[in-house]
Amino acid sequence: MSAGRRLPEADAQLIRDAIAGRRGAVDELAGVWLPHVYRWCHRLGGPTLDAEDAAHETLIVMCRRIHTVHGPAQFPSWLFAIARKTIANQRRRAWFARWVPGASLEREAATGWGSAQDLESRQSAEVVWKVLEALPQSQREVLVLVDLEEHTNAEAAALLGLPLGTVKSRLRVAREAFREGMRGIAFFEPTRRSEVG
Amino acid sequence: MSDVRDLMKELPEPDPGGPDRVWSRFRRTRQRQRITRFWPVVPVALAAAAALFLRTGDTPRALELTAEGTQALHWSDQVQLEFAGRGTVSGTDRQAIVNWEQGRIAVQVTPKTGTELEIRTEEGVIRVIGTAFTVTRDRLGVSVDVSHGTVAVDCADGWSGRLTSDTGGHTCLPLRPALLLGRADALADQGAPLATRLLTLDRGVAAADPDSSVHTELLVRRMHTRAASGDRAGALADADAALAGADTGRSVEIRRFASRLSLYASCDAARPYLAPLATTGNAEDAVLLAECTADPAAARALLEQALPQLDGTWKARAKTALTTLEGR
Repeated sequence: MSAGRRLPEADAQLIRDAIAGRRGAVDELAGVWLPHVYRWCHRLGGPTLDAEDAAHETLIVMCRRIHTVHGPAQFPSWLFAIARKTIANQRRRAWFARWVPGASLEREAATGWGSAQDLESRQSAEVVWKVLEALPQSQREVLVLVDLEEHTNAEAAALLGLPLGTVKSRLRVAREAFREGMRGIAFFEPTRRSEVG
Repeated sequence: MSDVRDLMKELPEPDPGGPDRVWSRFRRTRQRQRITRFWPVVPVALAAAAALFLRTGDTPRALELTAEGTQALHWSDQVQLEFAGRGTVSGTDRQAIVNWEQGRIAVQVTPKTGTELEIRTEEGVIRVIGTAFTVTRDRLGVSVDVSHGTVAVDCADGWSGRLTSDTGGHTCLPLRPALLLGRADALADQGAPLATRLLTLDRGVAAADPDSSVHTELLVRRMHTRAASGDRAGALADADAALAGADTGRSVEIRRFASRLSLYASCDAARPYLAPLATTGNAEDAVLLAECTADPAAARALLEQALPQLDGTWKARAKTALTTLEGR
């Protein structure tokens, strides 16, 4: 099972069953796609977003709306679109939470980057994420899917529901903007990492 | 590009325990949803339960389905049946089993209501996955045609699969020799291709008890079908097997057919079939026997006896044979 690639027949059949309303099929489908959904939410949401919340909500929406999917081929991009929308909604909620005193502190502690990481790598990750965050959503998505999740351009195009040419040009612009962003906060040279933070 | 990828690697991998936590939370939510979905209807259901208990609802019930013309049955809010034929339906509103014996039954099941419906026939089981479809049990077997949605079909002949309106229908073949004989006749009536008919006859011959009259009947039909498809050796083998099997009163017909077929090869090949026909008094058989008899006197006697009963080409053929004998 790989998001954006041709689906094996068994997976396609499971999607057809879920669409047709076979008992238990939609829950089974959620189990199969959970790892993908979780990664999407984690990668696209970043450290300020609760990926588990977003993945859970995405799957619940999937269960509710599965009957609207037209067929197995459409399913991955449809599910990805739900994840994007859920992430966007949660980002809005996170923005609101920042204005409620104390509401964001607990969340940030809970969704931190992991206590086992050493300080330097945590700082590096935070800087990379800060640059990614500064990119427009359309560029960030392409960059995350291709350069982080290592999908091919065609797979990213299928997931995003975009023409291949659009993905390629967005990727080119996104990479340039990302490099520019990294230069802008004086992090691009590995020897200067310790200056950041 | 590689510099971008290298920098991206600074981002941490997702927590490997995350999916498990999401999964258990998802399961809890789904369970809650299933329960809460029924909450608003609980008081209504409790109030209605007593009234429904005596009539329908989820108390198991059974009905006989018999109709020569088409009849409709509202089994429950989730299941509608329309049938012409014979069978039974049993179970509850949401879990019904139709045992279908003969004829056509169309089923409509409201999707996404958790309704389970099975149509059981001798030739296979058809399971509903939220759909509308038709099952016809006739001499050909059990044919399934799907109008909407998907059905799972498990045929007793070994085929199983899922059908949708796009995949087209499927026919589960009969298994019993007598039913295969019926299917072969139905195919012949429909003018089905010889190869299709032979497949059914092969199955029937293989399945039938060699001492049974059904076996002989299947062999006779296969003899005719093989001969029509140009397989004379196969047809004669079937003739021999049929003559060696149960007596169905067809031995004269089989010998007559086999004799004509074997004459394509030689009189020697035909003689074993022709000789027993001498006592039947059939004039045409007598002509063929005379043509294959080495004794001129016996041949002449056969021809002279047959001649008054013959006309047309057979009469001409007998006269030619007599002339040939006189010239000897």
